[in-house]
Amino acid sequence: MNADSGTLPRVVLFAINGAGLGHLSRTLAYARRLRGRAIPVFFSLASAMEVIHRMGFEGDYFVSEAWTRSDGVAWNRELMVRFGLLLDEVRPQMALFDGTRPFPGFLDACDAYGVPYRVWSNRRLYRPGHDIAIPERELFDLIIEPGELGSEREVTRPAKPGRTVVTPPVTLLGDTDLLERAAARAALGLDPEGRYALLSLGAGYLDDVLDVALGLIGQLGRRGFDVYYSRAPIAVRDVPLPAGAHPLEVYPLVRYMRAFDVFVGAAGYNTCCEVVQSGVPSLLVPNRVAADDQARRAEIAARHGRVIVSRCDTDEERGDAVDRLLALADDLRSAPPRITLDGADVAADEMLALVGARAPA
Amino acid sequence: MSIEEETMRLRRRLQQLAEEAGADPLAKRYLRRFGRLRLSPYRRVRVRVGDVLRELGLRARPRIPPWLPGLKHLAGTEHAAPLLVWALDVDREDLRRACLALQRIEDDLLPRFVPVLVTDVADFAFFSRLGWLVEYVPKLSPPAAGFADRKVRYLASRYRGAAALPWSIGLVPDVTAERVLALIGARSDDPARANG
Repeated sequence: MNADSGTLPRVVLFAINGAGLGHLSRTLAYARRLRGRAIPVFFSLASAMEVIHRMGFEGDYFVSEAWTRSDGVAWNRELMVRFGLLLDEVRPQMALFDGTRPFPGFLDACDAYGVPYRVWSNRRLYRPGHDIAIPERELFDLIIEPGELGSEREVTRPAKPGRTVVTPPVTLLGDTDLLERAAARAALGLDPEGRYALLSLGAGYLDDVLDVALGLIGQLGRRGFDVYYSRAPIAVRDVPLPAGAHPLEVYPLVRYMRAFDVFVGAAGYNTCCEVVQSGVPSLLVPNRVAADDQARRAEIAARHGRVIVSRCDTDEERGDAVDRLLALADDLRSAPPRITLDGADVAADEMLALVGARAPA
Repeated sequence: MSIEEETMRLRRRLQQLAEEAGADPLAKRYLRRFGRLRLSPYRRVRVRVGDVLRELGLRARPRIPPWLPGLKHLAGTEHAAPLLVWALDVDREDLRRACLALQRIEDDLLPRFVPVLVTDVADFAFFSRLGWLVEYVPKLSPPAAGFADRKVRYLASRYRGAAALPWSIGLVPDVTAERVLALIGARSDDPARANG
């Protein structure tokens, strides 16, 4: 809140600790677009506070429901007090929840404090059986649905409460924030003429990615690539890397993605958007444990980016996937047309309009 | 100052902070409304009737589940009591060294005690691999400049009666679990202190 002139609306952004940094990255994307027009303050269940601070924002941390041994009632009671304390002190005009389903502790704290406006950022595309009904819709003034690749802005429910806006894809960085190949290699200390592959298969606790990771590292290494493996800042255990593979711990990863000749990643929301944004030839390995439908999202990404998709379950599948990835990388005509990725700007405009700071276009 | 004196001083300070927290209506104001908002008229009447019966002593008060300090990704913490490691205004590298020293004796403290790190240092890439609960105390800008002090008071109250040590215990040469247990006044045959 360093730049608070006292006139800008204060907004609290609540990021849940899903697998990886997806929710936190999305709230950071909103915060970056709100900067200068509002004062964003974080309440994060993702234990990556230094990431928030490095981007110039303040906030508090509370242990996630997924990590604590306390039961749901005890955790929600504690959440209500902790979040209530932040609300008491920050006195926001708006609170945004980014997550699958709002926690009772969040809702109760908002009610007890009397937050004037509530927004729910609710990324969709669930696997069959995971797309839950959302009775909480009426409890929010605005619902932002970050769209999948190819989505355009669409108001699907104009009436409040529960006004619902689907946005174009939300990305943490704008296109101009990504480093070009030479600059990215210089920033990471890589050889300008080297042949590099980057793997990022998740935070290491959602799914057992070890076999897939080691298999792909071997496949890429045998084809002459120097392989880097991205480690998330909130990993609770690190994938043990074989000799010759290097760990890489940078955030946001997308800023440096063009340093690499090829990329291999899971098909989370942010990764899919960033693969398309960076234009780096990519192999997406959908995670089958996550609630979101990563297989479907990977197929959508393949329509909009230089992407191939494989489950990579066996050595044979991994070998075939890497062959296809390299063929894709060699085909310079394979770049599809650019698509709109300004969902964070659209969402920020909607939020500001809600608190009366600016009308949406 | 010796580590024993530091520990005693911290204990007195936490007691004082916990008492000061009693004057802050925060927890009461929020918790008395927990689960009571957004109820249907029927549920609201049922809850009110339940309150009256409890006030008259005709119905037992509901058991509030305890707040547990363990994390799922650290084995053996299911029934552990909190061991607060108080680390405010500390150098990041010094804190890392202290945490690593405590991590080396962690197996000898478990399953009775698990560290809970209270700190204003944002070094979560390191903390997340420790597997300890971190109670973060950030400094916020105005109008929330009072946030850190208020949170510290709340934490002192939340963990009232729990074992607590200054972070510098981790810098004591060759610190052992026996030394830690002696400092917090726990004998090797003591049951873990409850915390709820």
